[in-house]
Amino acid sequence: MATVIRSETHPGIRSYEEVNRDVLKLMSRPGRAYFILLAAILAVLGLGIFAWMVQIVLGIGMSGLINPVGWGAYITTFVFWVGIAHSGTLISAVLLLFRARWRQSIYRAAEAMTVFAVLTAGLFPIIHLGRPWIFYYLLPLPNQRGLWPNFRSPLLWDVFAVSTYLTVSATFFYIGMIPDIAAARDATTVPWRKKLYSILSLGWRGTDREWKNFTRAYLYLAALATPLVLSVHSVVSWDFAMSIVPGWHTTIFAPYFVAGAIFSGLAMVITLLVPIRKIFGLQEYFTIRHFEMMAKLILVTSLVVTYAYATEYFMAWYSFETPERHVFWNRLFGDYWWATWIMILCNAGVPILLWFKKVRTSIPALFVITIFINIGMWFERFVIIITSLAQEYEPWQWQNYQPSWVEMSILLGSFAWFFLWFLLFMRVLPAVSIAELKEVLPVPLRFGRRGARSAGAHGSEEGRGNE
Amino acid sequence: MADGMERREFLKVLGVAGAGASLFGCSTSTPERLIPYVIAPEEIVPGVATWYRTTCRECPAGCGMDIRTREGRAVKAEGNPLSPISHGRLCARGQASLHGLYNPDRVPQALARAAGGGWEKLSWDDAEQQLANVLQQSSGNVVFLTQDFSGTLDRLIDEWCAAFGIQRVRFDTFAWEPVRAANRLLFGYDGVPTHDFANAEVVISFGADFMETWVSPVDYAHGFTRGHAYQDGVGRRGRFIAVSPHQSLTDMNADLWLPIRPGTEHLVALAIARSIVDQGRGQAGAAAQFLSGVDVASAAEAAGIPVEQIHEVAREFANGGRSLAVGPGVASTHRAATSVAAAVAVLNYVAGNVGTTLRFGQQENAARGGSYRDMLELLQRMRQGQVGALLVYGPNPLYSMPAQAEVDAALQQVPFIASFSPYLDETSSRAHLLLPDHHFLESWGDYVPRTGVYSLIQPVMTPVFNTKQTGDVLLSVARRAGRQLSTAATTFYDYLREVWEREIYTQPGATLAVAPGANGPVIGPNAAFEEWWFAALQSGVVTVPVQEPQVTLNAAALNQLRFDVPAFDGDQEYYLVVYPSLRFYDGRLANRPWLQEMPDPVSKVSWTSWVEVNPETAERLGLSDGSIVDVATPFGEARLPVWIHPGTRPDVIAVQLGQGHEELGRYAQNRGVNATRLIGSAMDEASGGLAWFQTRAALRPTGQWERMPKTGRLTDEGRHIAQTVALSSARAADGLAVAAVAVPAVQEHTGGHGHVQPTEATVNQIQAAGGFAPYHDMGAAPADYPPPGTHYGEYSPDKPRWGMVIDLDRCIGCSACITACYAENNIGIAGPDQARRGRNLSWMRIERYFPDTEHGESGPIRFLPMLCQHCNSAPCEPVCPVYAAYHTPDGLNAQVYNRCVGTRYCANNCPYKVRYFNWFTWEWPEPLNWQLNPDVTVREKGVMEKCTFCVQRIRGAERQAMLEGRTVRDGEIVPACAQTCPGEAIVFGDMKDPNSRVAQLAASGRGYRVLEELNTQSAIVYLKQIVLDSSEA
Repeated sequence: MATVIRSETHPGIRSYEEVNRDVLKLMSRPGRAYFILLAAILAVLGLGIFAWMVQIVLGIGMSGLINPVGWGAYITTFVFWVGIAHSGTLISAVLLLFRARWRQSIYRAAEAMTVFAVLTAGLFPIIHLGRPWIFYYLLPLPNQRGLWPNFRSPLLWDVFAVSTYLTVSATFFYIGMIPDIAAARDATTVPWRKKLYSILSLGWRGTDREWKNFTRAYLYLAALATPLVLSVHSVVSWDFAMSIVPGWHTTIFAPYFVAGAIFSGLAMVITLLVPIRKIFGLQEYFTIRHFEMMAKLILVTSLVVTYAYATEYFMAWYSFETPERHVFWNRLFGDYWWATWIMILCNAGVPILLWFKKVRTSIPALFVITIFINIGMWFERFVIIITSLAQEYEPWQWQNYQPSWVEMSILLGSFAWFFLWFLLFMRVLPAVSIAELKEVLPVPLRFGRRGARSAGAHGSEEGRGNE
Repeated sequence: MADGMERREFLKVLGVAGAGASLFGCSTSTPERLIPYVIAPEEIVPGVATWYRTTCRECPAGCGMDIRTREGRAVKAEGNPLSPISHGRLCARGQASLHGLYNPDRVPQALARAAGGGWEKLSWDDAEQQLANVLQQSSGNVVFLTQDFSGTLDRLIDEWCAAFGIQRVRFDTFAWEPVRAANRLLFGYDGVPTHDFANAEVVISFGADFMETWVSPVDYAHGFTRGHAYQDGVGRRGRFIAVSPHQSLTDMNADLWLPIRPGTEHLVALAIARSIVDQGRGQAGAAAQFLSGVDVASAAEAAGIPVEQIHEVAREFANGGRSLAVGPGVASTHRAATSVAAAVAVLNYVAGNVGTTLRFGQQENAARGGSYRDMLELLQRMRQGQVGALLVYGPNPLYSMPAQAEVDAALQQVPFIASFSPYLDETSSRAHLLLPDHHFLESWGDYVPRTGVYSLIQPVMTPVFNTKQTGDVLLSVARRAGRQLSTAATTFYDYLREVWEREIYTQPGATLAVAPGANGPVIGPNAAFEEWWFAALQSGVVTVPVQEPQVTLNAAALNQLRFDVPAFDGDQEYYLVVYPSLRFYDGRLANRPWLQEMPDPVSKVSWTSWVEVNPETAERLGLSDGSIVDVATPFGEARLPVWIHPGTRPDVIAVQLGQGHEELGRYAQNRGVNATRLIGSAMDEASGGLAWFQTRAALRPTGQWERMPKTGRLTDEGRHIAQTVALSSARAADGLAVAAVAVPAVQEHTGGHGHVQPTEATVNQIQAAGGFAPYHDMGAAPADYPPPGTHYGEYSPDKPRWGMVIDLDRCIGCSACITACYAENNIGIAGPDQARRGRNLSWMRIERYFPDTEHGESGPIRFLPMLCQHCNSAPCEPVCPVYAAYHTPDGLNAQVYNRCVGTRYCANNCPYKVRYFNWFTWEWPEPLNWQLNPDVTVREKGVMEKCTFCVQRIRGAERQAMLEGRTVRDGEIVPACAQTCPGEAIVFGDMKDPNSRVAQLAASGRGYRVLEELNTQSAIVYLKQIVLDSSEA
């Protein structure tokens, strides 16, 4: 192998064998650092669970919620995680349909993030209930009470939207992983892993017929998942927009929330991939180019979000509605001015830096910027929810809200919960798509001994290589 | 038995004869030992309420009371509609009397001070014997300290004291000594006359809080709204002028507030009288010579108000005997308070009110006899060791007297103290023997609230604790000690009956109170006493006609009084007003959780004390609501949070009485500050009453701040939540002639952000043309809501549409409705910590808005009762994912607690913010939970709740109507808030029935709905408060 054909997108990866070796190595027996991290995460998760237990036993009064502000940090965090969940489907499904070639190495991690973020988000509507032990009243279960949920309530739409999204994204995640699990099955020697992968890989052998069905199914699932990117967060936004609360009741919410969700989701992908890339030595897989492409998307969505902010304020002013105007005035200059300005700075201000290629291609800069965006997007939801409720139509009942230690513990616990899943995923399932990555590598026999031709352009045209 | 009792035919008003009352009812033993009714008592039908008539004894007013009992337990207090004192209504204190009955901190049985300092349980035999022994051994130096009990108990105590050779001293915290002294001097009547507010078109109050604690607040508030509120279609509207340096709740209802310099009330009153005489509008009569020495201009200057205003008020006030001046109240009782009372009397005399609105024949029975001076003399003797034994029944001087009176030192010099108090208050905690009295709801007795009105007290249930009625104890002790009384009666009940048979039954003209138009208890003129007595218990009140005497003014007596500005102690910057509490009276009711939880009607602060500071003063000192300051007087110091009160003069600060208990129980102890510790013991010398308003105080900011348990804010931010209308506009809308002098109306509607709302007339035109505000067809559901085919939330067009009209011109903000609502609906007590976070669950709240000067508003202070609006197109209903919030076929916005999972979406989406969440499971410490209304679910944590329009009462009336084969009559259903409202501001009924009272009122030109622009189509129509046109104020 005197001359090695390099992939255009992944110039550091030399061969199919290298892909298999690198990716499957991630799943080998973890080291000590891994377990220390796991223990730390479990401790934080324990704190969150303890706080929730306290809240269930004593009452939701343990949160900082008060009479006008019925929704607070819990719903903020719910919307935050649902938003995070968006980029996974976007990257895997939408980019697949658009045949964006830079998705292959990152989509698995993004999809995992989606599933785990939905798992996390799904907890919050239950946590925030006054009586979580009867949460199943929200489900359309046949029952002797002869009662049925109220299909006019946006909260019920939420139940369906989130559960649909979880189902579809989990299915999509799993189906796409089958060939890789089969590869892991073949490589592993650990008995429990062997058993697990044998079951999960559904007897995959890699025949032509299997590949043909697989690619079909995958494409159809992508088509099914794509509308969900729009619908889920639209429905979540209707929790607010369908009400008559000033600051919530606006038609812009659905597109505004979808853009915000993609924005925050992409930011979270970068925040996650940067350390993973470093710790697991995946520099060859997650290249600068990937980060730059995502940064561009973040920039676009940031602009959309900024435009939505501006529109909101304009409409509030233009509406001549006293309560509406008051809410927006209060956001900027009232008791929660700090939250609003954090939101504006992080979501509209900091991403301006991404106009510069130097910033877009600097991993540390991106890491810092995306953390700002994550914070900013949490505060965006906080501002929308709390400032609107705190000072509504009836001035007598204006009251400010402050999260309690219980809410903060559960918020931290939710991050621990999310990272717990992610950490387990990294060691148990292939975190990078082995099969799809090979698509963008030069096919060994065809290009192996020929001159230095670019493999990238051809690679994708060749379809999926068969080992 | 109670056939034909107009309003409550279906409710049995039972008079229970004899000790039979104690045969049934609940056992005091623990629930485990409850025995089911194998043989049920005849009168008790499970699930059906039994009503008893009695008399409220929470303050000296003596309102007639109806107690609703269920399965032998009292669950709700209401006013006796036959009582001329309560008119079927109660104040917040009366509503909360059940929390006195079921108070967990009552003295459970007779106790004696143990050697180690603790309490030792005694049997009643031992306790009575012990008292008898002490009295036998004492050598004539025993004092019986009581409050004023009118009626038979008072007579028994006198007789008993005489038999033992005991001296009796009467002491009441608020005894209105200056009013009594002035009337004694000027008219020869030592008492407080009856004030007929209902017939007074113009009222001037010189610091008398007659809607809160002054003399007979329920009757006066009721009369005031009748005489004062706008009458649709008639156009009559009274005037109320408040003259005081600090606005009480009463003063906040005034059409005109004259913020006079402290201590100048009498100067202003005399100046007004002089001006009336000068204008030739009144008869100076005997006072002519005295008034000729009064100079209006110098009085105006001393008071700091324009002279023209005095002439203006005088012109208004001279109203042919249909006006009334009252005062002073506690807040204006300074060192010259008798002069104020005398000046007020002269003013009434000049305006011709004596004998018309001021009736000396019928005297109020508020605390006759006894004064602060008498009490000081007693304390002096106690300190000198001249009192060998002290029996205390009622007063709590250790709490309610200033520290300077040295009550503590005096009590320490008394070797034996026995207390009859049902609660372990400050004074009782110093006692050696506790003989806890029954609560008045467990007692027999009577009360004479005013001359010629006899109000019976009967037990409504078996005693909650092992207490004993003090009347019985006195009789028993006399028997044990071998003292002869005039009676052979062994129980107070027998004694009471003897007295009634001998004296009241035989009085010429004694009539049982009967509802107008009703048959009432059928009693022949010569009925036997037994029959008559039984009927008297059913009506609760017996009246005897009183002749109104010819009253002459002894003008010479005026020269005995000084009419100059009285002295105030200290040279600090501010005058310190201490004023009685609407909630706790003098502090005796501070251990009632309902009253602690209820926000003060003025400051809206609950559970603590505060100091009221003028906005300018606050700005100068850099204070905001909740800033902690030190209030220092020559007599004491207190650390208090600030509440900024625009109705306070810049040179005045005010602290409310009633908090700061060291004893009394878990809800009262260590809470706030006892304001009597800030004043000295100086008296109004002419009357011997304590000069409550006597000292100056310094205000020292500490730089600290705390979040107060306070609801609401000062203004409605220009949002027109509580709306007003100029009198001329209201009259125009009624098609009445506008006042002859055309005056530009007070701008009632200039909203914020520069946009001007249409005038009243325009709005009325639009409404008449069927524009917006479709009051007349509000019974109908909107065509597209709810969508056809849904199973829930369907309004049925053939059902009634329950609705409410609230007349803001009648609401005085007294908050009785709040406590009534708590009592009826088992609303949880959130407590001070939760109140700080605004987590109270007050289904009914009274919003108190000052005019928003920032948004260009002027006009009166507005009170707005806010409760669930039961919208036709309710924003809360569609958002509930589990149908916990839904619409009933009769238009109620219902909440199914068992369905509720607690998403709180409904509360978020409620623009009125009247949905309240159960953040925790609230506690009712035994036996407070005995009060819980069995008709209403007790909610657990995590459930949303709100006003139901008292759905249990609606369904109860509907079922009763069904049983009787008829439809529900208009006015038959009365929610708890409307029932108790002393101002009759709330009317409930079927909006769809064009003949119902509520539908007719809703059609008023003053009607509007709050946040109408949201098209919630609420079921509550508010009638705008009247603003007087500028020349008419």
